[in-house]
Amino acid sequence: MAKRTAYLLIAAAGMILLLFPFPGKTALEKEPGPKIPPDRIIINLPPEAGRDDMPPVPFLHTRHTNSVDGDCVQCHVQKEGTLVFRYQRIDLPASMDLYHDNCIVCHEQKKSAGEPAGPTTAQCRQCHGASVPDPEPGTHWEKIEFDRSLHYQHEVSDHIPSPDKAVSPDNCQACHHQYDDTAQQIVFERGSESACIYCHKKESADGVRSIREASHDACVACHLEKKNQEITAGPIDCYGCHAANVVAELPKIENPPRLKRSQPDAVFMTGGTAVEDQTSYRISPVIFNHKQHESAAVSCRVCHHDSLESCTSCHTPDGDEKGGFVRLEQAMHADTESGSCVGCHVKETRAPDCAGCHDVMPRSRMNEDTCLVCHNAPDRGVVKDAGMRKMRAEQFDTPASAEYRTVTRADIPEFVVIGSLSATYQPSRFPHRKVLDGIARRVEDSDLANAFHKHQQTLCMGCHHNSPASLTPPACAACHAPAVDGVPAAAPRVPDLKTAYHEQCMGCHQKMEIASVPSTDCLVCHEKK
Amino acid sequence: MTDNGGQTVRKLWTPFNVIVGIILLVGGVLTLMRFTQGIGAVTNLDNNNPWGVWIGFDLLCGVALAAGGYVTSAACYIFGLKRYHSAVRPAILTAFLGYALVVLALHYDVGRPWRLPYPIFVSQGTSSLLFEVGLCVFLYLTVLFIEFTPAAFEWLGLKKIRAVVVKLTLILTIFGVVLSTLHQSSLGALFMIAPSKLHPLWYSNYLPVYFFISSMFAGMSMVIFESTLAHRYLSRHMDDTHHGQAFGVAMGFAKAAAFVMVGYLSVKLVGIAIDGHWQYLTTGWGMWYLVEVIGCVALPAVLFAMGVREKNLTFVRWAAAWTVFGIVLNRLNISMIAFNYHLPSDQRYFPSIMEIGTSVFIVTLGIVIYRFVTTRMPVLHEHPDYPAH
Amino acid sequence: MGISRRKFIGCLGALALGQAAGVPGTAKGAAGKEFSGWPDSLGVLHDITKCIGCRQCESACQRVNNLPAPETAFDDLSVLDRKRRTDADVFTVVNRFDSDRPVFVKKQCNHCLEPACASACFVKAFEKTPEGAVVYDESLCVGCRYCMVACPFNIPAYEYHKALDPRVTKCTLCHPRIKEGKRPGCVEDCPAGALISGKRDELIAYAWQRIQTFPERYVSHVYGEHEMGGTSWLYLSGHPFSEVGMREDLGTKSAPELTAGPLSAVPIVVGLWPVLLTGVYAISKRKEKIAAQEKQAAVEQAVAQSRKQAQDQLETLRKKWDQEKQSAINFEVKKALEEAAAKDPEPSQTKEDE
Repeated sequence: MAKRTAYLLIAAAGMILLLFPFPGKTALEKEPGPKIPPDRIIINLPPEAGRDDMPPVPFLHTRHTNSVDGDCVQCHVQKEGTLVFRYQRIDLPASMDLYHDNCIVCHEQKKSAGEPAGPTTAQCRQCHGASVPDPEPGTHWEKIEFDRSLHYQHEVSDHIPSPDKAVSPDNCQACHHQYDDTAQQIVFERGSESACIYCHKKESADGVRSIREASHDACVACHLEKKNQEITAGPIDCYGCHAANVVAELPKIENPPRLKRSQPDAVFMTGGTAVEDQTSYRISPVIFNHKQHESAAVSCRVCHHDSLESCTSCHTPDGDEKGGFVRLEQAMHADTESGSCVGCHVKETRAPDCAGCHDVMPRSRMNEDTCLVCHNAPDRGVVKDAGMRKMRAEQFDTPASAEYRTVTRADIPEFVVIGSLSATYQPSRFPHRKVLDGIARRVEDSDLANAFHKHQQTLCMGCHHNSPASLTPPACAACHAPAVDGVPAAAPRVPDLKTAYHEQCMGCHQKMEIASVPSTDCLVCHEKK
Repeated sequence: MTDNGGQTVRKLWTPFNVIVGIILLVGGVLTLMRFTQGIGAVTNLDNNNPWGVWIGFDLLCGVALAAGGYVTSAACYIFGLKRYHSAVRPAILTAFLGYALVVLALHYDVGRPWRLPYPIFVSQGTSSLLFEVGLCVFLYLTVLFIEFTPAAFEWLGLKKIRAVVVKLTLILTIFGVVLSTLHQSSLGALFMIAPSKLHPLWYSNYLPVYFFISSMFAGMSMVIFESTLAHRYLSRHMDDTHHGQAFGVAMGFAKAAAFVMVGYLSVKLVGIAIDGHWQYLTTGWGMWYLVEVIGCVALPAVLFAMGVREKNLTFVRWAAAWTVFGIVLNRLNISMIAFNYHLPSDQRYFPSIMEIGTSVFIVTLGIVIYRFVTTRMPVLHEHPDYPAH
Repeated sequence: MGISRRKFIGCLGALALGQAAGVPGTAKGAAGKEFSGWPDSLGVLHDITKCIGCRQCESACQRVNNLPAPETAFDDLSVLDRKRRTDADVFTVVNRFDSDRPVFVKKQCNHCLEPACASACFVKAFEKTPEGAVVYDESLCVGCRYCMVACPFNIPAYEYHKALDPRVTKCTLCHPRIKEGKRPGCVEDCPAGALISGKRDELIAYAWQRIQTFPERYVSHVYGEHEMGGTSWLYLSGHPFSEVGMREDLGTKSAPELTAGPLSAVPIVVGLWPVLLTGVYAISKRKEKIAAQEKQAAVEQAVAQSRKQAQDQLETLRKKWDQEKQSAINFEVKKALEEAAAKDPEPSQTKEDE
């Protein structure tokens, strides 16, 4: 008896030794990568009491569109020449049975027809919690920015009928609407158009559809309707709008005309309502060139992120719940948020045209002149009357570029020979004027740049930094002493001369994306000895 | 008393001798290669994998399996269990040869073997666990040597000096247990310096404890295993006492080993629980870990227990061999298999045939010397002129 | 007492010997206490965002350390196509990692504050110098390569091809140069400002200052500030460090801390084991003695009992014999009387009238 047990034991050991390692490689949940395919829709019903909750199902829409050869009515209900963008229903709530009874049945039909099909009954985990393959490089989901260029294309299209076409030729009311709480219905109000995202948030709430549902029902439905009428319109499938490579290639109108929403040309920004007996504002008001900024931003939403009202209605000087307790000062000056003035300006300095100076040799943000660039209204007296304020604003709104002064050509050296360090290499013949011209060319088209630079000499300060603007700035070696015999010149903050030259020149070339001067090709700048 | 009846001329060209001769010859060639062309010419070691089979098998397994010396002598002299007495000398001989061959293998593995005395006599790196290992191995080798000398003295007829050495038995045994505890556990602690390189299931703060406890049942199993081989091939050199006590030794050690192995498993379980490594058990590495722990420690423990209960020597012998395999697997896992587990497979290490050949050579050397000693000196039998000590 | 005086003193001897052997002494740069670095020790800050992958640092290292010339020249940047590690005569390498743009990282010994190699070396062949460099003494090295096992960054390399004098090799932080106040060779030659040397504390402050000046450029972490107890070589990166080949799972415990536990157990074992084992021996000897005594007592008792039994038996027998003897005598007397009576008829008839 004992012998038999012993043999069983040995057999068990043999099984463990031979078989376990192979099935042991259990598939751990693959961490989803940061890039998802554009057509992935997560089906996640709220958990029901008394039922086990299964993981959500990642549904790949385009795969299914292809499998029915583009015949949308297989899954979608038709409505007025377009579709209801819900699965097999108009407005019934989704349920497990709805999906199972339709999806699985179709899969089984395809399977019995010998075609490739999805999971069938009793293959639960192949849908629930399945891992989605990574998208092809460059085709991952990206948010589509409905910018002014796209808006304009829709504005002027002849195929988008507005409900009140008889009254006005504009297409505005074809998409823009308001909701009348009292009448509990959609109404069209001219002059009150605003961004969809102000009401249609990320998730559906309180009967307001999510931005996804709303935009698909509005945009894709219309595109589909046009396609059925054989009119060229926008995309109707996921990849057509949301794939990263497509988003990058959308037809762009350069400088679309200004939106017609009765917006002011200039705004008199005073920093909040003055108290009763205040006679002067706490700081010089900002004359804000609203018109110029409209063409600088991709859409109104960059600044007007939650509503088209003025900033101070939510962002009060002391902070308010409506504004998320973000004070006015923070809203205007936070340098990491692109919705704030300073934040957007800072972000612009990182563009390749600007980064060569701004990213490599940054000036400290706060100095005596920082605020003056914007807070430059000459009169700090309180102006109570709104009309008066408007007049003030328009009066002092001068284009910044008019003030911009260039440096005399003769004052810019054409070549500078940098030879103080030539050990391994010949002295470098630096094309100084050519470089300055290049920088100026890239930068002087920008109103923003000119507003801040005010004078072409400021461009010199990009390289001749940490010293006052001058036509004869100090030599680099005045502060950046060359390292002698392997001994560094100073503390980490001040690189030695060789490092200073290289960091500045290479850094600028890299940030401004100048491919003709690769950092690793030493001979481009100086020949060998 | 059984002996070979006065036959002094033995056959030279036995199959065993021929094979051993070939191995020794190849070993000699490999030795020459190693010392004229460097370690790189003979091994697959590289900068990512500095320790290979010479450390993983010759050092780690050699030391673990030579633990029979301290276990047997502790059982007999400290715990007073006289029925193990006939097993003491063979165990001491095995241990001494084991440690001596470990030192020999180190001569191959280390870059400058003539400097091996440096850590003890020239510059003591006392922050290093390897220093701990080296010092204790050095001292223990001396202890084992002294413990073995009575057998040699009896063979040489040096009565007086034998009497002196025999009086030292107890102190040497105690010293031997202390040293063994230290170096067996320090061998495990060696790997505690590299948590980023050893798989979490094998890396633990309790590595020294695991190594020490496993060395106990490794030694016991090795004693049973070798006794099996000795009874098969060297039976004619064994006296009645040895034959009479053999069964009791095997059963006694089997019982003890089963208990210690269960203790080892519980310590390992607690270790996993404290470190919170349960989730690793369901991965591929986890399965391999379970193969080692359940397949090669838990199951042989059960077989040991069954062998003791049924008084079945065959069970016990198979369990011993199985346990020895499990110990070798554990040491190889920690030093070579689960070590550098995170490296891509093209950077992993597998020993070269020459490395394996050298290890085989060293083990064979041990077997040959063991045979030489036991066929001449009173190891497997008692010398008629001397009382048992 | 079951243990003789001689044996007891012998056990004390074992205890003392063990103590002498097992007590760990002090080691340079490898104590169990916290060590936050030598004051004023040198560090190097490697700003990964500035490295252009020109390999001039590798070239400088080869030149300054008199290393053999490599197979591919240093200006051949195609070697960056595969990942390299340090080797026996290559103390530093630059590797390229492809992300949204190519990122170059220099790799060499990090000169940890509490080096794992120094802690692991059993002949103290590594020393953490006050200047900050971790230097190797080839006159002591036995070639055990435990330092290579211990180094979490996988830096030390070995001269496996040498038979008689193989050495462990790694960056020396140009210790001879830095003692003269010069900069390490690689720092000297880097054109792009990716390497800055200076006092470690100052470099850390400067690194954090850089991160705060350019928060969008750098990952908010100075690698090497705390990793493995702190290293002299500090890194700034624009990409997560794990994406540029640097392990982020090493923890902040230095190597000596990791092995302090087992080392501290040594005196405990050395002090306690001989006592315990002697105790066990004494107990087992006592048990033997008591067993022997009990056996002796049992034997004596058995002997006494059987002796008494024998005596009783003897008594009974003697009585019986006496009785038999008496009855035999009686019987003989009776028999004799009867014989006498038979021989002598009527003794009363022969007599005359009296």
